[in-house]
Formats: sequence, structure tokens, C-alpha cells
Amino acid sequence: MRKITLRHLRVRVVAGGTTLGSDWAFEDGLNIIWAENTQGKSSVFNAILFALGLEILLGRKGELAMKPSLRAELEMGVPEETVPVAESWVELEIENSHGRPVLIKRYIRSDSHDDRLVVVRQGTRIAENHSVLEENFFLHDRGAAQREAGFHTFLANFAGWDLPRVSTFQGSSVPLYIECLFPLFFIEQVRGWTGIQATMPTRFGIRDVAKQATEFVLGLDVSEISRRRRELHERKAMLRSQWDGVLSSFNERVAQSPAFASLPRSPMVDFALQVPRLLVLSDGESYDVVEWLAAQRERINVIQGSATAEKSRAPSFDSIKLRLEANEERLFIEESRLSALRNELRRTESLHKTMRESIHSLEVDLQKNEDAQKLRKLGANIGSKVALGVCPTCAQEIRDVLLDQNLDVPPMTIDENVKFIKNQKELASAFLEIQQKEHEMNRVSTGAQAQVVDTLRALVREDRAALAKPSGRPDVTAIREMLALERQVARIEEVASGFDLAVNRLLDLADKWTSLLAEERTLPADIFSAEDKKKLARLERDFRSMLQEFEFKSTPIGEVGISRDSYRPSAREFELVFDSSASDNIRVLWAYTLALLSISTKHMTQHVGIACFDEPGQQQVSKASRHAFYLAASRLDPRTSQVLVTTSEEKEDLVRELSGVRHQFIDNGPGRVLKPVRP
Amino acid sequence: MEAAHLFDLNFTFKSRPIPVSPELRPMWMIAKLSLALHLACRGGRASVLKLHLLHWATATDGNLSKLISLRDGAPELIRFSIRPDPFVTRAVAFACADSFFEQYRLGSVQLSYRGHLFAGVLSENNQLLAEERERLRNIGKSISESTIKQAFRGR
Repeated sequence: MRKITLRHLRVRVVAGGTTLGSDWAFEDGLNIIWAENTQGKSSVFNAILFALGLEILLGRKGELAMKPSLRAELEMGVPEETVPVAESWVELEIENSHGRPVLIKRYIRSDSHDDRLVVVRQGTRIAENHSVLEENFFLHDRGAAQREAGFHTFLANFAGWDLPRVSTFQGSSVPLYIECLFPLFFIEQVRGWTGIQATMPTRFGIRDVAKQATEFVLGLDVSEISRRRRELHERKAMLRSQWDGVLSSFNERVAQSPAFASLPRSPMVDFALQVPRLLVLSDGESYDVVEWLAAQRERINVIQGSATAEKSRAPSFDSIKLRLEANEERLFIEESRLSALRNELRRTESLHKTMRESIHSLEVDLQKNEDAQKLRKLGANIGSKVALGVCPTCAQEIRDVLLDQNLDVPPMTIDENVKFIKNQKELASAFLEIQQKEHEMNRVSTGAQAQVVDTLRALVREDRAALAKPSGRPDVTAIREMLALERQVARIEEVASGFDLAVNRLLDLADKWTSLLAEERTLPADIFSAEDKKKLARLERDFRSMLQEFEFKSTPIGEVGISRDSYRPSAREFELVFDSSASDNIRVLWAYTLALLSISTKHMTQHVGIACFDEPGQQQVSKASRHAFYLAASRLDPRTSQVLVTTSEEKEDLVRELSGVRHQFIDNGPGRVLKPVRP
Repeated sequence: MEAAHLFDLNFTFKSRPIPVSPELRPMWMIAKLSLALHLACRGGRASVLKLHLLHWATATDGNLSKLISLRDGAPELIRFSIRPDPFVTRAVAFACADSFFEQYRLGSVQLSYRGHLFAGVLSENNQLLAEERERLRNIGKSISESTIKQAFRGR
């Protein structure tokens, strides 16, 4: 079913007090729109695109996409003089698959209307001119001040397109804009004939845009599968970062304490079976946190007991002095130990940083080398001998470098280079893993040691104070020790409950991870559905038979097919367009564009139902081929296809080429396209 | 372990290939120069000297800003002069032999049909040579012959 049908195009220009313009009415099936050479070239084609807000396919935005005679100044009158354009606009009447008409108006030159605004009147035709509501839509700019909705959103709804979301190179996701579909339907005069989808806009930064557009237009199921795959990939990435979040907030809590636990750095499916224990480092030994806490509480009880039993009898001056000296010596040792550990920690940290940086630069290098591989493949596809390692002049083998070809030490090939860097990267990553573990242990030991030093310092401070005020001071050292222990216990208990929270969160995430992986496994590899295969086979058949009718010669038809990877014409592994001579290129575009349209009559696709050809190469292709082209276009079912061809061929030749071809001939007369009309 | 006895051992050296910067691959340079002709040269043609200049200017952001300053007639503080790069010379030779470029006049080349196709494909694939393409678009078709002469002569 046709998604959009073009019914009527109207162009008006107000200049020098007169209104000039032209009208074209389109029918189903084949429409041949003729204009005398140099007078009307591309006017109709460009005006239709402009009305639909698709002038980006012409390489320009807004009114600049239109010829100066439509927006700046034109020659008119007798005698001819140059007159400035006061106002100009385009009106286009279209229908959708339900037969609902809509009138679109867009100003080219106007003092009152922005060229980004499109005025839409639904339910009326140009001939009827019912008074209906005028709705304003905007194009291109989505400013915060805009209250109007987007015209292309309206157009997509009107046509019944549910545009998929696709990813960009920046990592964001955008809809597959309509502008990306139309290069398959509209073949523009200047650049359109240089290749399939030659006028594809690249400004949206959409990954793989040409392939995605063709996949959508053909209505292939495989794109749904790839979409789900991409979606799963994003959900996995999000889960990984949530996991990472739990880990880093736990690590923050546990820093500066002698506790540690080796939680897995990335989501694990069987995490529930391998939950690690929280450990405490004390005197160089690791203890399970539960055991450790029990032991500390025991010590606290003991101290409490002995303190109350002895009724805090103050020890003698001498015993305090002895104890102080012993502790001071111990403190000195422990402090230097701590200092050494801190230095070590700083060292491993900076080593860590260096290693991350070198892994990053390896990744950049790898990416560049992989790009170089792609460039070589592109070059080979286009017929380059250098890309294949062969001298184009003498056919000798050449090294794939711009260095001296006769260097003693042979350079690596790109493939060897890529392998080399990958190896280096693996090595560096493995090394980094080991280094990270070492760093982690250092951190924990440093934390534990810091605790030891703090406790000792407190004891030393207390004993010094006791010596300074000798009489009547109870021995609070024991109590101080107990308090320190209680603080530690409280701290570690906090860490332990944080740990439990983290583990619960991770168990939950591990569960989700398992189901994501299971979902991923249910996805078939990117194979086409049965319907997909039928569509592509038919596309190939129709394409081939048309190529033959059009007298395509560059490659034996038997070797021509439709690539199942790019959906473009190919011969052996090369994309067909690059191999062909210029006139055969044109034949390929004719056949491909018409074939896409033809399979839409027999299969469910998202094709718009229109194909427009602007000046289909009259200089380069033979008359017989052109006749075959018109014949093929006319044979498409007019209920589901509409073909527009704008041409300025010699009328005599054209008439002959159209003999036996069912078509509508639209000729607005000789001379200028814009003629005086009633306003 | 005695170090002295190491001198008596027979060492054999095996020649292994050396890694090479991807920018020294012919296809890379031809691609870059094709893009340069397409995006920054009128009619897809230019003097080979201009290609040297564009190669240098699109290598880093620093170089790019130096070229822009020179083009815009910045104060005398900008002093630099560049030399022709032998790798560019070789790549141009390859490109001509391989039908990407055609000799236009003495010392100038232009994109051939194949070169235009190549440049077209490269303009489409946003990942490849993205930085260089960005910088070329920045330069546009605005570099004059006098700017080129100044760049090579030094100010």
C-alpha cells in the first residue's frame, strides 16, 4: 500500500506586482514531467522536496535550496528585466494510504513567514480549497521557544511510519529520521546518480545509517532482532555500572579501616554461591569479621572485669614510666612502618595510573589500526591495486607502507600490527589486574597499621599526662584501651552492616544479570526470517531482470546480486556501483530504485510507495535503455506505486521512447516554467 | 651464573617485522588526501604543495589553529614554516598511479572519478578519519595560494 501519494504541486512567485507560477497534477502509475531544457531543470523535483521539508537531500537547508529565480530575483516582462521576488511559496497536495488528503504550504521567500514553518490543512485538496483549520508545524529547529510540533513527526504519523530508535556515534539514541529514508525514493539530479543513497545526510551521526534505513524500508524482521540485541547491550552496560556503584560506595566506607573483602569487580552469575567473607587484618593475620568482633568483645569484658576487680588502684610512678618508655619505642617502630606502607601505597597508585594511561593509548592505537584496515578494504572495494598490495604500474608486490620499500627490517602488515597491539593490550591488562590486587592489599594493610599507630599514640599521651600529674590520678590506661577497643568494634560493626547491605544489593543485581544473559541467549544469531529471505530473493530477481532489460553490460548479470549484508547491489564481494562505468551506474540506480518499489506491491514493507527520478541521465544512456526504463516503470502496479520522472529530453526522442508505455505526460508548455497566473 | 661465559655462546638474531604507525599506510594517506581535495579544494583540485599543507594542518588542533591564524592575517607572533612531507609525496604518486588522482597541471592534481567516489564514501562513514574531516570542514575552501606560499616560506 502506498504510504504517501503526490497529487498536486503548485509554485507561486509574486514579483513586480504580478503573480507567476505553475501547477502540476500527478496521477497513479508513471508520470513524465517535461520541461524545456535550461528553463525548468529540477524545479518540480526540488519543489516537492522543499514542500516535504527534505531539501537536505539537495545539500542545502531552507530557501537556499531553491533556485534564485524562486527566492531572489527573476527575469520577466517584455522587454525582459530583472525583478526582485516579493513573496514565493510552494503548495503540495498529498494523500495517505487511507486516501486522506492534506495540503502542505511552505514559503520560500516571505516577510511574514519563516522558511522553517510548514502550514498544513488537513482534509482538503488544492482544487476544493475548503476552509479548514490551519496548523503550523516547524522544521529542523527544536528551540525551547517552539510551541509547534515537528512537521516530520506529523508526516511520519500521516504515512503510518513507526520510526525505530537508532544509536549515534556519540552514544545517544535518536529516531531514524525520515530524511534518512528518502534517498532510496528520490534520485536527485546532481549527486543522486553517483551511487545508491548518495544523498544520505550524515549530520545526525547515526551509526550504519544506510543499512538501517534500507532494513527499515524493506520491513525486515532482522532489524527487530538487532534492536533487541542493542537494547540488551545497553541494559547490561547499565547493570555493570550499578554493580560498580555498589562496589565503590562500599570501598569508600571500608577505606581507612583494617577490614576488607574481595568482592568481584564485575557482575557474576553465580555470585550467590561464592559470596566472600568480610575479613579484618590484625597483627598481620586476617580474621573473619564475626570471629574478630567476638574476640574484641571478649577482650573488652576482660579489661572491664579486671578494672572493676582491682578498683582502679593507681600504679606506681615507676611502673608508668617503664610502660611509657616501652610504648614510645613501639610507637616509633610502628610509625616508621606506617610511613613505609604509605610510600608503597603512593607508588602503587602512580604505577596504576601509568598503566591505565598506557592501556588507553594502546586502545587508541588499536582503533586507528582497525580504521586503517577498513580504509584498505574500502579502497579494495573501489578497485584500488595499492590496497591489494600490488603496484598499479608494474604489477609487482609492494609493501603496505609509505616508507622506503627497500628497508632491511620489514614492516608489519596491518593485520600483523593489529594482532601485535591486541597482544600488548592483553599483556598490559593482565599486568594491571595483578597490580590492582597488590594495591588493594597495600591499602588494607595501611589502614590496619594506621589504627595500630593511633591506639599506641593515645596510650603514650595518656601515660605522659599521668606522669605530669602524679598524685591521686587513677590508672586510666586500661579504661582508655577499652574505649579504643569499643570504638573499633563499633566502627567494624558499621562496616559489617554496610557489607551486608552491599552483598544483598549485589545478589539482587547478580539475579538480574543472570536473566539478562538468559534473554541474550534466546536471541537468534542475526539470521533472516523466512519472510526476510523471500523479500531479499525477490528483490534480487526483480533487480537482475530489470538490469538485463536496461542493457547493463559492465558485469555478467549472473554474477550480480543483492548483498545480504548491505542490501545493495553487489557482484562477487564488491559493491556493484564502484565497478561500473558511468552509464551503467545509472542503470543500476534505475533498477535498484524500481525494484525496491516493486517488491512493496507484493510484500509488507515500509516503502513510501513513490519513486522520483530527476533527469535520469539522458546524455549518457542509450535511447533503447531509456525506453526499457520507462516501460519497466509503467509496469508497476499503479494502485500501489507512483513514479515521477522529470526530464528535459528532446521531445521527439521522448515521445518515441514512450511508445507503448502507459503513462501520464505533463507538459506545461514551452518557455519559462513560471507563467503569469490568476492570484 | 658467570657472565663471562655469555660471550662464548652463539646468539642468533631473527629479523622480525616492526610495527608501523597506521598513518603511514598508503590507503590511509590516499584517503586523507582524497578527503582534503574533496572538502578543502575548489573543484577537487589543488597543487601538491597545498596537499602537504593540508596534511600538516589537519594532523593536530595546534597545527590547525596555526594555519587559521596565518590565513586570517594574525600578528607577526605566529612564526612557523613547514616542509614538504616525503610520505605525502609518495602517497600522491601512488594515488596517481592507482587512478585516484589525475595530473591536472604541472605540480597539481585533481580527483579522478574513482577519487570522487572514494571521497564520497569517506564523507559518509562518520567513524573513519573523523578528526581530520572535522578539521578539513573547518578550513573549508578558503586557503589561497599566497597563504600556501607563506606557510612554506616562513614569516
